[in-house]
Amino acid sequence: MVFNSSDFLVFFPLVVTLYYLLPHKFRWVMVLAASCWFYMAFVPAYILILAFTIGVDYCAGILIENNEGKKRKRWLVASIIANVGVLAFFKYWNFLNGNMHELFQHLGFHYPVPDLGILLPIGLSFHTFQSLSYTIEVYRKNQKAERHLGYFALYVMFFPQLVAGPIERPGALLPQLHAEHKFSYENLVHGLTQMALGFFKKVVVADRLSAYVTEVYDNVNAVSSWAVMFAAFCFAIQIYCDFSGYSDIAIGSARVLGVKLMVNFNRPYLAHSIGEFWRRWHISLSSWLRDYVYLPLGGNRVVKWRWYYNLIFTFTLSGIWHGAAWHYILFGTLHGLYIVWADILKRPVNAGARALGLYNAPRTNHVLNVLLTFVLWILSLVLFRAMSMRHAGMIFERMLDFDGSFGFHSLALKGAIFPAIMCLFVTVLLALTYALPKDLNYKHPRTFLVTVTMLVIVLGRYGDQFFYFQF
Amino acid sequence: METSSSTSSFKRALTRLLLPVLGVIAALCFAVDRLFFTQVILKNTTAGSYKTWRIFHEAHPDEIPIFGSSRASGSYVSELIDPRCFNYGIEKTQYELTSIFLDQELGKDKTAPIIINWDYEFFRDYKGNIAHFIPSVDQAPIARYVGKEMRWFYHVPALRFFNVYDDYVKSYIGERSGSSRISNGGFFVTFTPTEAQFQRLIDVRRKTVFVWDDPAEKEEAWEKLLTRTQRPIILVIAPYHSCYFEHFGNMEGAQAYLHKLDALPNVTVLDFGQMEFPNTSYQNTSHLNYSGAVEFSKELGRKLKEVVPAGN
Repeated sequence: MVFNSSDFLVFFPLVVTLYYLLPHKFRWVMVLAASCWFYMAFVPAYILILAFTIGVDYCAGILIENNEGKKRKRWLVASIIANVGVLAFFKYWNFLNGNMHELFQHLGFHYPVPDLGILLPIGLSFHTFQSLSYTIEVYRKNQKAERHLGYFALYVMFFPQLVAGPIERPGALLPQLHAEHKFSYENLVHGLTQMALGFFKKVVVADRLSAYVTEVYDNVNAVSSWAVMFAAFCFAIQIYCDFSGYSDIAIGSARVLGVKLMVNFNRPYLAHSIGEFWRRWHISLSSWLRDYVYLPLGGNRVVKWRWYYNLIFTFTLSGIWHGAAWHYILFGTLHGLYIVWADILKRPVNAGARALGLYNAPRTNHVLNVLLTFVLWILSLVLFRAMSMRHAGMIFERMLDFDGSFGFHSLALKGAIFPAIMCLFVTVLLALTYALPKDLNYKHPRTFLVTVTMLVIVLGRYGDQFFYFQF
Repeated sequence: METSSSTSSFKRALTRLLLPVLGVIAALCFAVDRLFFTQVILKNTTAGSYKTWRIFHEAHPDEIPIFGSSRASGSYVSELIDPRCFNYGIEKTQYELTSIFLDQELGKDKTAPIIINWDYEFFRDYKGNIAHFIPSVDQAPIARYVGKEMRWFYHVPALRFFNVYDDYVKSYIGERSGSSRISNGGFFVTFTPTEAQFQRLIDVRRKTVFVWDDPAEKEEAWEKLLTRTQRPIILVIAPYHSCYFEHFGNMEGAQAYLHKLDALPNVTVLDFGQMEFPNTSYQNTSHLNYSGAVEFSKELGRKLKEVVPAGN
């Protein structure tokens, strides 16, 4: 089930009502059943994959806790192999197989292994990582093994964040699932306002920009290079609103149930470096990779070349996490390289800034850094959005054509300027939301809810699924 | 103690948040819906949404309706044909919607003739933009026509226009921007493609093969509908560019069918399909622009006077 569907409009109030009507001891059953229902709205059979992951990690957690020494490690490795194995099979098999096929063809050999004719289970990377964090934390003795299978299943399957995060940690989520939550007016207000903001981002901004971006990227050679650049900008706004919108709805709906999920986005387009950007964007994944990959590799407490390697490796892994295609891998690697380059170029850039007098104008310096970070992000997103490496190449090529005179008319699609105007309009509306209190503690929540709901009704568009569902 | 605090919190949520917010949203929805419907949709006479609403809700006893697709809305300049004409043409609609409109028109106590723009693609399945039909989904034939695309919220004020507000606004602005001509429901493009642009359109058309097939069931239903009335029905084939016919399969079949319709007692077929126009009179190979529409409408007006009995 998707949040931006009429089904969810019925589902959510029903779940909330039942949740607060039921005695605490029965709530987990209801929320787990609701989560199953939520997930099975996509491809029902894939619930079995979740059941497998839950079964394996539930047993692994207990076995890790019950054992010492090498045995603990063995169970952890077994859990990692099972989780990554499922991920590899469903998400990466076709990619690896396709590459093998091309390699064999190139060498003149026949490659008989066929692709899997199956859909990628929705949100697989999210719940796999969430489940993995549990066994790792139990192994590290930061977390006690969960003995109640129902609560553990709910930890993996909690519907608000089941298919697109935030990727929670057991130490934060499991105690909250166990705790009895009384109905709270504050939670309701906070949850609903955050959900409203999420719907605004998704339905008003992301889905509208998506139509423009798709039209341009599907017809790169039929539009002006200015339109291609504008579409690249629009995609940066779209992907932010799509994903952070989802996170807002997830966090908001969990909050109504009394559960506080982690913040997943912190105004990333105000970041003044790529490093800072990743501390503000998809925070739950960035911190997961930091805690379970980057730091175990040594982080930055190693010699320089090794630090660079750690960075590039971690970001490449992030690219692979996003999707099984070379353009995703390159997207991740590019971000690792951005940070490495920033470190290498730090001295000459600082010297240049000093020479230009920017050190005496810290605000200008900051704004320039924010803009540069945003432009680098937009460029990397071309790789992210393209269908393939060849398509990304075409988009970059068209951007560099600079054909035709620049003007508002050059952003038109099939002669129509209205879509571009509306894209700009909703982007301005989004910018206005940055003026809202960060903690969503509004003075007039009712006015906010009414305004946002009306904006969603009047300016909203039917859109695609959330972009990150495919991951 | 805890239960009572939870209960009071729930009461507070209900009385201070949910009910007031839902109440204001409901009131605003009614207001926005009314305002939008009366000031945008009903004021936009060239839009399909208004035309669909008009055929069901307004009688206009002397009116000569012109039914059909975008070739109807963009080629028939009402005042040059007959000042009583109103153009009901809606883009990307054909037989199915025309049948509904004609059926509705025949239910009215009128004697005026009916003009129907007849395309060679008349029996193909085109649905048109859902925005044209949302304001009229309470009409059973339109509800059936919308069919699988029907959504529950098409009956909820303001929410019913979700996702199509833009379409109405675009159309409303288009009608008032002065960049096109309008006339009693007709919407005419003044744009003339350059010779090079038009040549590209011709090349695309030449790659398109169209074969006339005889969909017996639809033909029979259509003939039955046409002969249900004594009112004169004029089936008009508006001009196409000559390249349209270069890869036209089974023209004999199409012509035979038109002869068959022409033989019906109250039906007259006026074929302007191959009427010659310069390239500058077209917006593309199957649609005239305003200057072409003017010439065609004058000719149709003259012809109409010949075929329609005096007093009708």
